[in-house]
Amino acid sequence: MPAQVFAIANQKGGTGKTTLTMNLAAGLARRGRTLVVDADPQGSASQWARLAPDERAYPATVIAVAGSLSREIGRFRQDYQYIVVDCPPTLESDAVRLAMVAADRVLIPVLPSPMDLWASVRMAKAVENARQDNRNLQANLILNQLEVRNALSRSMRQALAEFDIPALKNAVQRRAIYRSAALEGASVYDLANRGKPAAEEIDAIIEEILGL
Amino acid sequence: MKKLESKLAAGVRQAKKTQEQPATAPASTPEVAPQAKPQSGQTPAPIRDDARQNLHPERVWPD
Ligand SMILES: Nc1ncnc2c1ncn2[C@@H]1O[C@H](COP(=O)(O)OP(=O)(O)OP(=O)(O)O)[C@@H](O)[C@H]1O
Ligand SMILES: [Mg+2]
Repeated sequence: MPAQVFAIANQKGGTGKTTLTMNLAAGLARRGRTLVVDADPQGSASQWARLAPDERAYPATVIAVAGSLSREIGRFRQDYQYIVVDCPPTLESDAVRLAMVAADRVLIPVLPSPMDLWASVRMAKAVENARQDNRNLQANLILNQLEVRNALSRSMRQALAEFDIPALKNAVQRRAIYRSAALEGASVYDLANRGKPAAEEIDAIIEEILGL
Repeated sequence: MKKLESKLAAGVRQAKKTQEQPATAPASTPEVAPQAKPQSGQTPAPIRDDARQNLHPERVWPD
């Protein structure tokens, strides 16, 4: 079975693409061989993995790809069960389009703030365009940094329904542990009890997308 | 709560509308675009685009 390819994209910066990529891939790696493709010239995903200490290596392979994304993804499709592509925060470069053309599903992390929500409209358009070359591309918005006690945060769900792209039922909450995980080159799965609630929500997201 | 939801949703619809506009308008009528009067009932188009075309009179945006 060729790998299932997930592209994590949003042209807006700082919405949690890399955080989601690295934790999702760590969770997927518990289910099958997983590859992270760092398609962002900022190299955040690669840096994340390099921060991991030798005794606790990051559980998935991470490769940085600058040029021919589709060819590289195609090359690895047979060797892995899951491939997660961390995209750069732009729509001007080819990278995001190529990632979406190679992907089975694109996940678009959106922060619970009006500006971020509204800016995601451009992303929806980009998905539509990518579908010209990848008819079967599935897409989902996913709320990141959700604050359950915040009214605006909770109101986002309703607004997400305005998009033609369905939002995942499960969301990622705002938790300090996601930041410390990055610092330690770890995923939330590596952080024992400290990471447990976060690992559970990442697992719920994985179950949801694998079941779609 | 309800009010927040409808404000957020209205913003999404507005963003969709703004997105549709530059894609169609200047491409179909490049010459008249800078002087084009805003249709009644709509907010006037931002002057940002005019500034660009003054700098690059040859250029039609988006190209
Ligand atoms: N759920 C969360 N809870 C708390 N902090 C978070 C969460 N998700 C992301 N962050 C933090 O928000 C910041 C931006 O996240 P991240 O780097 O993953 O975004 P990005 O979309 O990859 O950014 P860029 O567009 O620059 O690539 C980071 O400091 C990260 O640790
Ligand atoms: Mg990133």
